[in-house]
Amino acid sequence: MIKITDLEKFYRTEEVETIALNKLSIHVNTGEFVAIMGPSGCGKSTLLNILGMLDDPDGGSYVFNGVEVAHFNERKRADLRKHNIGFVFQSFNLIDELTVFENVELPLIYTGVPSSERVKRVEEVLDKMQIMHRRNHYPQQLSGGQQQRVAIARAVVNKPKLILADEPTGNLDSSNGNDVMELLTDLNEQGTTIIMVTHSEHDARYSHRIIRLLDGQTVMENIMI
Amino acid sequence: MIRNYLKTAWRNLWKNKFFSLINILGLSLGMGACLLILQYVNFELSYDQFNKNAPNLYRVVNDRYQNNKLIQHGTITYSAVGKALKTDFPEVADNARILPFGQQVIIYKDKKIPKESAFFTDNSFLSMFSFPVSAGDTKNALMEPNTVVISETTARKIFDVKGNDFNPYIGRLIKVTKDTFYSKITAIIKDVPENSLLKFDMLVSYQTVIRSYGYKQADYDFKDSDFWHYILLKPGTDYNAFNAKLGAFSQRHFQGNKVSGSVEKFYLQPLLKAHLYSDTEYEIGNTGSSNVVWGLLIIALFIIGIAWVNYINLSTARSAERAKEVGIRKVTGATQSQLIRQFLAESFLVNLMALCIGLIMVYMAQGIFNDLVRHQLSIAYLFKRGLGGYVISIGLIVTVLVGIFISGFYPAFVLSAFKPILVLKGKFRSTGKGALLRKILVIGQFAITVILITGSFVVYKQIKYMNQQKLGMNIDQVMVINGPIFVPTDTSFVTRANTFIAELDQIPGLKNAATSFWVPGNEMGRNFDVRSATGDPNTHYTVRFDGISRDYLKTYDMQLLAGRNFVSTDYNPSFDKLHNVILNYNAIKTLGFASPEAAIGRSIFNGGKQWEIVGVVADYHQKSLHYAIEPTILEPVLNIENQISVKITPRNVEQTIAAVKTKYSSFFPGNIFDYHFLDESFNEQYKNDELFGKAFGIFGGFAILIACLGLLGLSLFATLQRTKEIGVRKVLGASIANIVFLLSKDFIKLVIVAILIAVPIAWYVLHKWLQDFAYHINISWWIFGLAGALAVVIALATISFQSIKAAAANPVKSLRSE
Repeated sequence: MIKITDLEKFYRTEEVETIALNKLSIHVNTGEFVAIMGPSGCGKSTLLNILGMLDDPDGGSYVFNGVEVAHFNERKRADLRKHNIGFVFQSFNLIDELTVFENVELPLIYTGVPSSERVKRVEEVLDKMQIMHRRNHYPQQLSGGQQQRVAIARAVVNKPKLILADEPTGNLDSSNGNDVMELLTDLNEQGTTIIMVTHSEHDARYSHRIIRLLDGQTVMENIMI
Repeated sequence: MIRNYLKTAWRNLWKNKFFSLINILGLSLGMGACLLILQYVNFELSYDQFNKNAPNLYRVVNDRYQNNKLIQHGTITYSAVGKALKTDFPEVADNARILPFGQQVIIYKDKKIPKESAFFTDNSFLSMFSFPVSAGDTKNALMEPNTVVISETTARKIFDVKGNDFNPYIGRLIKVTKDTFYSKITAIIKDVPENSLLKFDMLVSYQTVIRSYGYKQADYDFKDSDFWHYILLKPGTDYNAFNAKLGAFSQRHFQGNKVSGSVEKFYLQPLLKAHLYSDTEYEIGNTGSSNVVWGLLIIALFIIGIAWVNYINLSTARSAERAKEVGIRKVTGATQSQLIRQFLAESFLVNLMALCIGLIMVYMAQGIFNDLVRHQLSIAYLFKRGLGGYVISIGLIVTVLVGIFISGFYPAFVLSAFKPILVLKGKFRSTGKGALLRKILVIGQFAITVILITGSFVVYKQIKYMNQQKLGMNIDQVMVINGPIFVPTDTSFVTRANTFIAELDQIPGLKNAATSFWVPGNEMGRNFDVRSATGDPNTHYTVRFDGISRDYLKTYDMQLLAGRNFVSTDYNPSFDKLHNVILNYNAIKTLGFASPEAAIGRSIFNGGKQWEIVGVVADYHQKSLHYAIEPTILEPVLNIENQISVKITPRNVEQTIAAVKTKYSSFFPGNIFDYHFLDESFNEQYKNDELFGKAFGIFGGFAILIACLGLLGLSLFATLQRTKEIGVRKVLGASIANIVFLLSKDFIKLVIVAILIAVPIAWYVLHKWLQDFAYHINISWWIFGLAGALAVVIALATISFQSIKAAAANPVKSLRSE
């Protein structure tokens, strides 16, 4: 599903140039659950941004579902993104001004799903995440675990082929964290490809494969049995 | 989608109530003020637009030069001009002469209707202008002598009109003032609209003045210069090209240079420009000031601009708070253009709310505003056709849309350009670019503010200067009574006038009384062929003249520089026997006398007659300080219809007036006692200046208030951003004063830059404005100093509202919250 080759990304300030990704090559198959690990500053988040088409690489190739997307413009990327990729963040990133229902509905609005269909699909996914009873609450009225469930609901409502999760349990206690990991595993078993950045060896064990990064390069790959 | 945008927008507004309040309140005030001003601007620009022929209607302006100097720039000219233009030029479709007839009394049976203003005019007037006929002859109403056309309101005053049927009154006979003959009402027209240059209640056929009053010169003559002409050019005529031909026309017809040595220039002024661009003397109509109108329009744009700048500043300053939302929307699939649309929707919502509140403000302030501008205006005036078509109406709509777009677009653009991951990981920092733009905009706002403050000071000072300037005469406590009309005019009037004045003098509380052709503030007559008997016989001068009774100088506290005042023997019912005159100092200088003393006993030629100078008075301002003092001759002429000036003591005013009225009524039975106080009518000349001054002050105040609202928001934001820094500094020992200084200095720097930019602009604009006055103040440097200091104080006060609160807060709280 994903094939990146010799991917490069630099960050420049007036004085310094930092290499975030240094000719990185990674391959992810459809239906895989991959964890990316590494110390702070190793390029994990940069990689996730590029994989999520939120940022463009400075060099190399990124083939997504057989299409070279490295040089796509903003509009094309956004289009590809909203139909194929769901995001889950450490800090949940729900819009405070919208209710649970409205937050989950958002991706459907941007993909132009008609209103009646939206209601059906949002209710379906909220039900699945067991937060239907909170549909009219605002994010600040929910616990961290509930918020992350809403965030996952939002990530999957559009039935994306790929979910990118950036330390999804980082702000949760272990019990809520395990719940979230179970949810992700379920999704993966139903066919969704998952790439997760994490610091937690415990979470990483849920994946099929761990890619370890250091200074923008792959240093090791572990296949989980 | 739109629903989602508006929902988020609304909840965002609600969540940040204080910022929303500042934004919406500022915009509402801005829009309200702007809508009020634009009503007035559009009303002023709508003058005479109701005339279907307006684009092709012109009036004749006559400039007169003598000794290479412009001595008269007026709309009055010779009776022959209109007809001659029509005969000479095929481009002229029609012409109408107007001779103002002043305030007349209409007499119908036992009824007397006072103060109906009237014009003599040609029948063509009715087809050239668009004054709709309610009843009567629509084609030839003013063809015959002794025919009149009256307004509906006048008709209602004369007759007991039922409903709107005016037909029964067509053909009725009335008498006008002292007429011995009857005039027939041939048509009744709708009342003249408020936005008409020409204002009248009654039109009298021009043939009446020629045939019934026997004023032959009124028909076709190049000597008497008391007539106003309106010309209708054929559509498509280039009036500039037409004007170019009028030099030869003047040469062909005018004999004034033979009579008085003056050179005449005629040109046409478009009717549509007459109201706002009249700088002419002997103005027949209701004139405004283009300076005031354009000045106010600029202020209106400034105010709304400042309000929109607030919106931009507050939105971009708060961008960090919105950044997370933007990031989330992006990762869930929003494109930049969708986000821009969202923020535009938000801007639209804010502007729409502001517009609604603004309209409520307009509704509430309309009465006060109407009192200020002295017109009955309403929102409807925003959509009236004006000079240049519907430019203001369309401009208003376009400006609002563009304003909404720009004020929304910039924040939308800034916000939607965030890199989502940075934002979502909390690494967002607002850009230096946005901060620079905010600085520039704040500088712009305060520069405008300083210009407006300076403007208010200068306009106020100039008006105060004009009100306090010594006029060379004292107009306080002078009541002016209209002269009696219904009195037989015979040779006994000198005695009668003197007796009346002498009897008035007996009234306690009355100091002096005098009669004159014109009172201060009126336009005096001019003689164009005045010269000193001993000077060059070929050099003529143009001199103003007035006829005054003996106590005129005393009544007005005028200073005699040399010679004597008039005595009773100077007066005679026969004009030919009059011999002595008093001149003002300016006339003495103009005619070439070395000093006032040297002029006494010397002779001058004035109106073909030789006169002896018996006295010289110090210069005095007959007209407003817009005009320079002119050479003036005071003649010992009494006329029973002269206005009566009565100087009274400030005590028991009511009783004094009552006593004067009794005396007037017993002396002149059947006449209407009508008076006004001179200082009021004199100051009426400054109504445009006063309006300008007040509008400058009031709307300048609005601009300052709105700019301060913005500054308040920005300073609150800056303070919030620096909460932690303030905490750390306080822990390290900073005092409240240190913190306030820290928070204020950046803003004050901007205000100072604004002052530096504003001063030269303000100086230039105000300097130009003052050039409109023959007598004006000088702009002293301290005005700028004061305006600048005021701007700094206002800004400081606004900022300190927040900064003191922040500085006084317990640092532990702010540090713990991190």
